[in-house]
Amino acid sequence: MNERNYWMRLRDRKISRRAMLRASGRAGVGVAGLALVGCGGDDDDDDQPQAVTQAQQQDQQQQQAMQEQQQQQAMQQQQAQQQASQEQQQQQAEQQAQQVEAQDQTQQEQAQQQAEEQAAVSRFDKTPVDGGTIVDITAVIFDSADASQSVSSEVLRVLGRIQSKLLRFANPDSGELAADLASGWETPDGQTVVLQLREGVIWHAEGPGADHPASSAGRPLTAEDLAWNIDRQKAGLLQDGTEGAFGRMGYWSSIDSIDIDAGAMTLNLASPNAAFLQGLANEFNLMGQPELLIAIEPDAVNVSADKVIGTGPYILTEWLPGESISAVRNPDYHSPGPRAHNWVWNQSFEDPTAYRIAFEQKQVDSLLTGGSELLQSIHEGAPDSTFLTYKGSAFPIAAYVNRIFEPWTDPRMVKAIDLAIDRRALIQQLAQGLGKVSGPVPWVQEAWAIPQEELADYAAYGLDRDAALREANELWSAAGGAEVGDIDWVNSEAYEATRPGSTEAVAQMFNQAFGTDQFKGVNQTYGEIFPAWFEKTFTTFFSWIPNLTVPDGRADLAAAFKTDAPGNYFSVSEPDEIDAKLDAAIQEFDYETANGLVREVQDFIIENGQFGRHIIYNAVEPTVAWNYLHPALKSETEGYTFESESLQALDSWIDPDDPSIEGRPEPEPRPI
Amino acid sequence: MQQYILRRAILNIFVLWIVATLVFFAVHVLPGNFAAQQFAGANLGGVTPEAIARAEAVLGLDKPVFEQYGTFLWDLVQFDLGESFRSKRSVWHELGRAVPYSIELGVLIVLVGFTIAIPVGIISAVKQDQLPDYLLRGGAIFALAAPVFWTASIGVILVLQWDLFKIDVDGQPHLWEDPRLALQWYLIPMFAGGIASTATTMRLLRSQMLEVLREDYVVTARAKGLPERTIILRHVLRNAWLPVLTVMGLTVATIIGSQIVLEQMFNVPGVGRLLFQAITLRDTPLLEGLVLVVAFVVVFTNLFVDLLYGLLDPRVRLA
Repeated sequence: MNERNYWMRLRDRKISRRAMLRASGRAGVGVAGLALVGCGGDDDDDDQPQAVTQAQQQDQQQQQAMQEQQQQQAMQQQQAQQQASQEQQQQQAEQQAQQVEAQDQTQQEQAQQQAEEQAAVSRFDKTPVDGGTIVDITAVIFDSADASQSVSSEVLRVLGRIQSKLLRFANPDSGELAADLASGWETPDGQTVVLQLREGVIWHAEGPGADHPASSAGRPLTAEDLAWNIDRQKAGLLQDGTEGAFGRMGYWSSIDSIDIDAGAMTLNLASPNAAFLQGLANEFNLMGQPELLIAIEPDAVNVSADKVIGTGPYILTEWLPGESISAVRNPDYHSPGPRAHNWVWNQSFEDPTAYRIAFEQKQVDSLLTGGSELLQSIHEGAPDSTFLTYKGSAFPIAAYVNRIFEPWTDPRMVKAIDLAIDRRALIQQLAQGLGKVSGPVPWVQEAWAIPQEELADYAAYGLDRDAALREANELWSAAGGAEVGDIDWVNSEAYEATRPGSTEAVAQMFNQAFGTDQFKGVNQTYGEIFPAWFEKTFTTFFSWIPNLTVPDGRADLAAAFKTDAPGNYFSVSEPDEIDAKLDAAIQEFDYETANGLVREVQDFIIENGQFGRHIIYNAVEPTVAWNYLHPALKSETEGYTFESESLQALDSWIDPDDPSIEGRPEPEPRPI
Repeated sequence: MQQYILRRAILNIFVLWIVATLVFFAVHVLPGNFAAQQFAGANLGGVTPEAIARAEAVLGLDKPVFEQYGTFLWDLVQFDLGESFRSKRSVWHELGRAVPYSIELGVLIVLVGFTIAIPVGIISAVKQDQLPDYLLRGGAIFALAAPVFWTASIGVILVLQWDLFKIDVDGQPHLWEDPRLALQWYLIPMFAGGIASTATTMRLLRSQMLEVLREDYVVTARAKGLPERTIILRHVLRNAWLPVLTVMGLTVATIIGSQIVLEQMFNVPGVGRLLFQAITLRDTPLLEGLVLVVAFVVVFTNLFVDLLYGLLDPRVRLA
């Protein structure tokens, strides 16, 4: 398991608080008991073996300290008690009986907690076994059978198990890389990436994709195949000369040239780029077979299993959107293969009732969607046979104002809005407390984000809301906020649908902050919102904003704030304070230096009210799963924020011996 | 008779054209389109103006509205409803998959509804203002007031709590494929839907029967000494039946596309659910196709019911 993280610390804190309460209870019991019998001694200790965690050690230390304290108090009280009346002794006896009862309850709770912890530890310590079929859930929108022309996370869910990348993430959240089609890599200088290609990799030899007349089943993968994938996306053109929908064209364009040598491929970058290497592991950068990709170009949007061939751990056997999708293990996979033999994607649940039925009757193995309340209530219904994990959401929640239009042309108004946003209240209100405030670099990009405790030092993120609101109102008044008339605050229809009342809640928050009723909530579809962003004609916005795809926060920050960046909808142009520093950070290979530059930029952005791009929070999303499922996790309680399909494909497994598997209907994957 | 049918059929086609036109323009008036909407459900990070424009061009949404309308009508004349933006399959294919599920669920709901409503309506009328009447009418009002999602949720909770049987929201079996599993899957929605539809039919039947029960010929029949059972079933029910038949016809016609809530809750891939998805995603061809097919069923079922009137009641002349 990896290092202690936010969730472990959260859990530890909970245990410590409970331990404190228990220790207090014990102290009271001890004092009363000692006063009566005149002797000390703690009979709480039991000799049962238990997994000693750091939290428990802390717990024990606290208990010991409390016991020492209670012994001293008892000695003092013992003398006083010798003079006490019979009546007092009787009262104390009654009190003792009550306290002993309370003590018994405490011990039972503690034993139950220990049993739960031991059960949890033993589940995660189990040795993985091969076999079985994992049943997953995916939505139904698939925009292309060609990953390089897709922007759909759902496509990744499928193709991420079928195709390989040059590199993959060993830990998608920290950015730790692992070999994939490249067995090794080095960056001799900031502009050169040398990839040693894995030997013996072959394209799938069987399955619908292998049967496609244009594909070459079982052919060895070549460096030329990889170079073709890169060059095609870089050029952005299809075979007929028209432009393709290559969403990563910008990334691949940073490659100036490719040299192919025996067993190696050298990528020569146009300029030093420290963030480039991580991009090779981006889940969208899957490598397809050139001859099949060319053949399916005219009709790639109509997805089907015969249009996909890969070198990945699974072979796609069926891809019928809205009906069924399944894959079987690739016997010729180049590395130690995946553990589960088959993968089936169930799809199309759109109602919490259907989610609940499907999960509780084990028609699916885990649930990420359906709402945190539903998932938590499902777990509470079966706490011994299911487990909850949490992961950060890659979609930040933000409020936008457009500095081109009145009244946002006045920087005081922009900053007033930044200060008026009660981020922590919104987390409670809209995410049931499951979330953490985010700065310009959201907290999920933890290596680059301003740490939470430091973020609290900024007025807009501070705990002293009164001070923030005073400043906000001063700015609002100085800028003539009361005279600007009604302000329509746009919320996305999709967000309102998942968080009913959010549109009104946001408007209300601003009204309360400024003591006005000028803010009105308005819903719009993304169909209306996107064009308004692109054309910079929007005025206000609140909702999800484009998701983060890699843990390196530099690129996302540059994409939103650099003068010529396509995602700079806020007309920010700060050549010295932002552009130059972000360029330097991206080219900088020393993390400390680069992080220092990114921090300077973030400070500058916050100082300026975030230029109208007010990042608020990133939610924390629970996932509930049956104990028999062992997904790839960051820790016992924490899943990965960033896409980790290749990791899930290789590391997830099904435990056929876990008691929770009883009653699970046998999934029926389509065979090859 | 033939002239009447022909006249009504032509009128129905005109109605369908009106519906098609209204739906087409209503859909195009709605803000947003599928090209942008699909990104909202996928990966916002990949959204660019170029990506949306490219998607619009692929879907034909970049053309002027009247050109799109012309194409739509021309295709319609050739019975081509186009391709679903979402699944990339023909709307006929989508309908071919969804309609059987909706018919299955709809028929089961109607069966449950009528099986309860008809005897309850008769008993309620025969026992007017007696305890059974009060109880049954109270039950009917409760059934009318209880939303289907509430009734269905109670059913689901009971089944899950006691692990009574499998609700196969994943496998989605047809009745002819696996009758037991399919019936288990449909059981809760068919009762929730059926109970909800009971009240209207039951109350209509009761009031019609009460009216007929006061007719002279019923008094005469009683005076003749006919058994009460014969009087009720042969003379009263038969004559009270016509308005109820109208309601039943309309119920059958609309039930195919109206089970959105139940289909969503139980993951039934029927017409109602498809309709909901089409609206949410702005899947224009699918939405237009579905509405047209539902409209077709409604108008022609009405025609069928009108024809049935003539057969059941010789006083009604169709031509």
